[in-house]
Amino acid sequence: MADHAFELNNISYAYPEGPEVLREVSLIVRQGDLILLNGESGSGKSTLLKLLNRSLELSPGSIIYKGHDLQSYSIEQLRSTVIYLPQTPVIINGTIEDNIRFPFSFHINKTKKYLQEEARKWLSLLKISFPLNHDAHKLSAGQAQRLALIRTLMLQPEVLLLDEPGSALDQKNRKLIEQTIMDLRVSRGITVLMASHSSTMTNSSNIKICRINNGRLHEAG
Amino acid sequence: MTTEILDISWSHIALTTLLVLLTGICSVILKLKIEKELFVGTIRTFLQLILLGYVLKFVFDLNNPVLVIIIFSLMIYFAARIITGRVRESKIPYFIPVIGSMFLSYMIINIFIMTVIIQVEPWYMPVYFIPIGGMIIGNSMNALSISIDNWFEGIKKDRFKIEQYLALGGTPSESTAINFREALRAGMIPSINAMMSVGIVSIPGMMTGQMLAGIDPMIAIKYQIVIMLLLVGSTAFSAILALHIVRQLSFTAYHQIKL
Repeated sequence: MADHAFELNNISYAYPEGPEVLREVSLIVRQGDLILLNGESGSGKSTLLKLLNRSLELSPGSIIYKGHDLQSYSIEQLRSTVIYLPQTPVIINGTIEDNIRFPFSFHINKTKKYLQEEARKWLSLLKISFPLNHDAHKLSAGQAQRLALIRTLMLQPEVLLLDEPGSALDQKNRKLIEQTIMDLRVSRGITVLMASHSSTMTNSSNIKICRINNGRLHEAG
Repeated sequence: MTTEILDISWSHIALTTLLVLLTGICSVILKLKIEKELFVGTIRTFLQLILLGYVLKFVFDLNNPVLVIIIFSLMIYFAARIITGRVRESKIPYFIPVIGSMFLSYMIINIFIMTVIIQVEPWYMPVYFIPIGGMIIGNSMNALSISIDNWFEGIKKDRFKIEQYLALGGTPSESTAINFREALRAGMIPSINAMMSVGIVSIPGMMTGQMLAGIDPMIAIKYQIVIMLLLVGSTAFSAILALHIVRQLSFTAYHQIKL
């Protein structure tokens, strides 16, 4: 279907020499959807997200992305539009600017000036009030998580895979991140799949909540 | 200055085993429990070197290029076996690529030294080709095992970071640029340290051997300089080549870490 971002058909996954983490999961994700994946720690939420940008390789089942089998996209093509953000932010040695710019050294041509202007806009939006030359390792956990989110958003993803983005944060920081994600979805039409076992979003409307239990996915609303 | 080399009689060689015997006695008294290893090691030293003596004598007399290449290849094979034994990673099948990169880089460098620098005629003259080849292999083997081990350990340590780089669209090469450099540097450091200390801290084996054989120290020094530079080059080339291949093997075609 044209407006489907993803179609997951009976997908299962087991890590090498491990038990099955996902069992016959089927799900339709429409473009612009915000899907919240609930479930206990270790229930397979991260695994599901990693299958969608082929950080993990699917065995049984199929995943259709924008009408084509996921396997038909090159890794570069796929990962430039479907971006996974891990639970713990990866902060490299250097400044805030170094952290924002490093993915752009991977075959994406943007000028330094453009990136600096964009970065300043995002930093202000996500309430990081440090200059671009500030040492990134001196940021708090909440600021580091927001910096990682900014870096991801600046790559202009079509689909954002967020793995417990607020788990290490206090209520205030978590709300800030979740509000930004909800706003982006409306303003830019980004499709978001977010793993979380304690989100403040559950009370919001327009969110599809799915629960993963014993490897099986149940749609809750 | 030329002196006649003094031969050592077998009875006097046997006398030096007294040193090992004393070490064995120390081992018993101090409960080091290395008596068995000492015994086996001593026997192996005698057997392996006597065997090597006969093999070299045979190869030197025959002066056949095919035989020289076979001996050289065998030396590389055993070195590659030692490398795989030292590296703490067994999931990635790197033995064949490593042996291939060793063979290629050592062969090119050894032939370059024989033909351009020392200008031996014919280029495969075993009395030059095999001992110099042996020095290349012995030194680079240590560098390669350090580099490859450092690479795998680095990937395991930085797995999370590398996975994020990959998820942000980086290729395996882009995502592991730092690990690659660190692994290469770790392997190169011993050869560079050797260049720093040579002549001050250590008098290298080849130079010592040549001087004992009555060669003018200035000639021995020239050889030693060539050897030192050659070891740095061969270490670098073989490690760069092997690490490139090992890096390719560490990822799937879909940019996922295999380890």
